[in-house]
Amino acid sequence: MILPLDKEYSEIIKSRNYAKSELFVRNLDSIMCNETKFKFAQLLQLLISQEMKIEIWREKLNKMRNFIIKNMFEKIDSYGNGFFTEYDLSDYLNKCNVSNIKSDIVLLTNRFNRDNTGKVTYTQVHIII
Amino acid sequence: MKNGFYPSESDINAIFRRIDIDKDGRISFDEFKKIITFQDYSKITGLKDEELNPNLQSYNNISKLSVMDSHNKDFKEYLSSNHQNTTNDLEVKNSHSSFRNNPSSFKKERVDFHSFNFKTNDNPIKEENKQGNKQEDNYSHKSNNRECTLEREFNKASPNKNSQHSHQNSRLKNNNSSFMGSSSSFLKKNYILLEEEAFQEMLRDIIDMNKEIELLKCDLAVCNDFNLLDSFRFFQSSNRDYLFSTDLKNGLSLLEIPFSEEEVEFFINRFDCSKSRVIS
Repeated sequence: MILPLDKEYSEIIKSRNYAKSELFVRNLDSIMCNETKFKFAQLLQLLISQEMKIEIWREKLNKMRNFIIKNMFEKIDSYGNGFFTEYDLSDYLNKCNVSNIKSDIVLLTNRFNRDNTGKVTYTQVHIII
Repeated sequence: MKNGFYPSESDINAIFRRIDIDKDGRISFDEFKKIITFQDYSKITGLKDEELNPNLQSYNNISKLSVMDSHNKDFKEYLSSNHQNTTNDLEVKNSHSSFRNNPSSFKKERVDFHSFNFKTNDNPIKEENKQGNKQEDNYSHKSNNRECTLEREFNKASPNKNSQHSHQNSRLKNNNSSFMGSSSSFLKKNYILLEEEAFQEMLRDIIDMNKEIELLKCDLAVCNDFNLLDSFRFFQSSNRDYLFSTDLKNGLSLLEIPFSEEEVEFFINRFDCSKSRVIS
């Protein structure tokens, strides 16, 4: 939820020391400056609003009578493996001019692939959509 | 609308204007029937039939065939009334002989006579309707033996005229239904395209939102006073290793972030990998 996908940044946060439990009693002011607190709040707000936006999309797509998740999944999974990888997604996104930037594709794959196996299954797509 | 298509107010007005022919502000059954009926579809849409569906070309061909079939009677009339005409008689003889030699070529010969009939009669179909079955009866009386034999042979070749008509009608119906079927598949394809576009738009949106979030995460990672455990413990109400929705709500309230119950539920769903309704 908090760790960035970029490994360098991720390692920076992980390596940082944390406050001793005795001193920390649900008071962020004691350990964070206002700016950091604001950024943290902003991040949480964005994460929440993202879920709401996706829910709106879900509703919109489900209202469409001919929208079948399986068909969309099969379009991405062009080889019919039952799963798609970053490369399959990249091909699909290139084809439909959504994005051809690798970082975008990694972000999207990460959004679908919860268990970080690199393979997005139909069930995972179904959960998101 | 239930079919997932959302027309604007002006679209609905435009559709209504087209359907409501008598402009009484209501769509009567007749008007409704006209919009549904296949023949009027091109008039209503203002598109050429071929533009609406390429299958219509084959439909038109079949219509021509049925017109040609109606000219069979003209051919008979021709045989009965014009056989004294020397040049035409010659053609008839030729056609007879060609039919005897090769019955399958008869249809072709018939077409030649039809073209002749088109020249002589302004509207052979009307002519046929006027004269009706009486002509056929007259024909059977007037015709000579050779022509009767021809008729019999012709009937053998095509067993029942009515059945032929009904066969063509059924072909026409089939073609009609295939047209309707293909038009619905055409619409369906368009719908699927729309849905795929919507899906792509959703993916685009997810990418954009995740980009923004990733930037903020990196920004936060650079802040020296930020660490993972402290931010987690901020939400913790006890020493448990996971967060309940109530913990999350309390934390969000402390941070003065506006939220709804629904939003918190979606948030937990997103990050709850174990499906136990908690965030570890």
